[in-house]
Amino acid sequence: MRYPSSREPISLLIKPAGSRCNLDCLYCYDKRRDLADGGYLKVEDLRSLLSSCSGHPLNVTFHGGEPLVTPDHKFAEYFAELRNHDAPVTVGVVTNGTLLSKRRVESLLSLWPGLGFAISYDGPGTGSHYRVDFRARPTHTAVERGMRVLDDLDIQYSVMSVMTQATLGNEAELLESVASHKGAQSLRLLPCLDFAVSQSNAGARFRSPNTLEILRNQSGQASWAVSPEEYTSLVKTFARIWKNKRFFERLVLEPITSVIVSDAGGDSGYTDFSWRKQAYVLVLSSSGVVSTSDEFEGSSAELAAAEDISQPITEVIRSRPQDLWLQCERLLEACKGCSHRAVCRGGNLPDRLAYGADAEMQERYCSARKDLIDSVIEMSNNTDGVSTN
Amino acid sequence: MSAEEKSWEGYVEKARRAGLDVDTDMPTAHTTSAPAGLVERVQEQPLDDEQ
Repeated sequence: MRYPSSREPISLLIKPAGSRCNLDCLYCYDKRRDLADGGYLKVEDLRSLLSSCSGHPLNVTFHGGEPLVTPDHKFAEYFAELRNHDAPVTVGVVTNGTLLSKRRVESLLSLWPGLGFAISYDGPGTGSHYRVDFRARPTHTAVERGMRVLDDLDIQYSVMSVMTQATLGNEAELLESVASHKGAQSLRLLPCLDFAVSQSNAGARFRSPNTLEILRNQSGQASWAVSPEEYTSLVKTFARIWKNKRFFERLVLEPITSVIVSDAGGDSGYTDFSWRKQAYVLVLSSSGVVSTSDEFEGSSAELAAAEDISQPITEVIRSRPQDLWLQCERLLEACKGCSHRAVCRGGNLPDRLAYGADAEMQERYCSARKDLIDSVIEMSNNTDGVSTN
Repeated sequence: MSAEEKSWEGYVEKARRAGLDVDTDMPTAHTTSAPAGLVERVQEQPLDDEQ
């Protein structure tokens, strides 16, 4: 397990409004948490955390919930703190896009020129079946409107799509929709494996009636989740369309590109295909709690309250969630001797941890991942039989 | 992208050289990408096997 050393870059996810959101996506992991609604992030908490990150370049992403429910005067305060950091900082925002307007985007860019944008979008029609508002109404047209705002302003952005049961059969529709937006530069296919989700959504506040139960099937997955094999199948289908219809000319597709980079010995920076894993990711929530990656279920990833951190962040990361890191190290230890280890690099540790003691699911995860890697390498070597001419 | 990169082989070759910015300039969750401009410096450090 690799941990950040002094002056190494760290990814910092800031949740300025916690898990608050104007949408009510059924699969939202943030809404499964019992997060205190602490209003907006206090700038003092950000200042305290930045102080402990002294010397570390920061890749800052405002995240949620929906970060754009936060007013611009709060963003102005946060940006002012980030400007004072003593190492390089890049700043972006991951948004559901529904609150984007020309005026809002221009306002944010006036506060931080070069602000990056990523849009969470699951596609038109049934692909967005689980991405709904609080009245269970579809949201994709509002998201697409937000993407067009960025298109019209000649702003480039990335798109992140959650791979669920609703994506199966709608791959071409999603890819073609994203590619139709001139600002979209990359599409990342995020696996929603959601195995053994232990906390019912019923306990969470502010959920619409149809989210009040997690329907399990016999495999232990939440009803919207895909199996490891289904995720690999989805990626293969996307990749075939992407290559065959020459979408690669203008759109980077992930994780395909990370596999190619990794196979060549490079590092794309994507935690799923990098030795720099969740220990390089910090999350600062609106309540002032600092955690490592929010991909881990429950409170196991919590490090400390920002205001209580007095030592360098590298020491905090190494010393706090020891049980969690021990479990991650065991997982990576189990990779030794695997034929695909050099490219795979341990996969997604939170997903693997969620499989827990279920040896069959762990094996299925690894087998599906090997299948994905082999398929991409075959495709990159042009031995997949798919012509681009 | 240049004309060369618009071929499939060009795309793959550039990815293999890690010349494609997967998302170093754009935010995505769950990535440990270095801030833009720091990628080369970061990659000078050994990353192949750090367990």
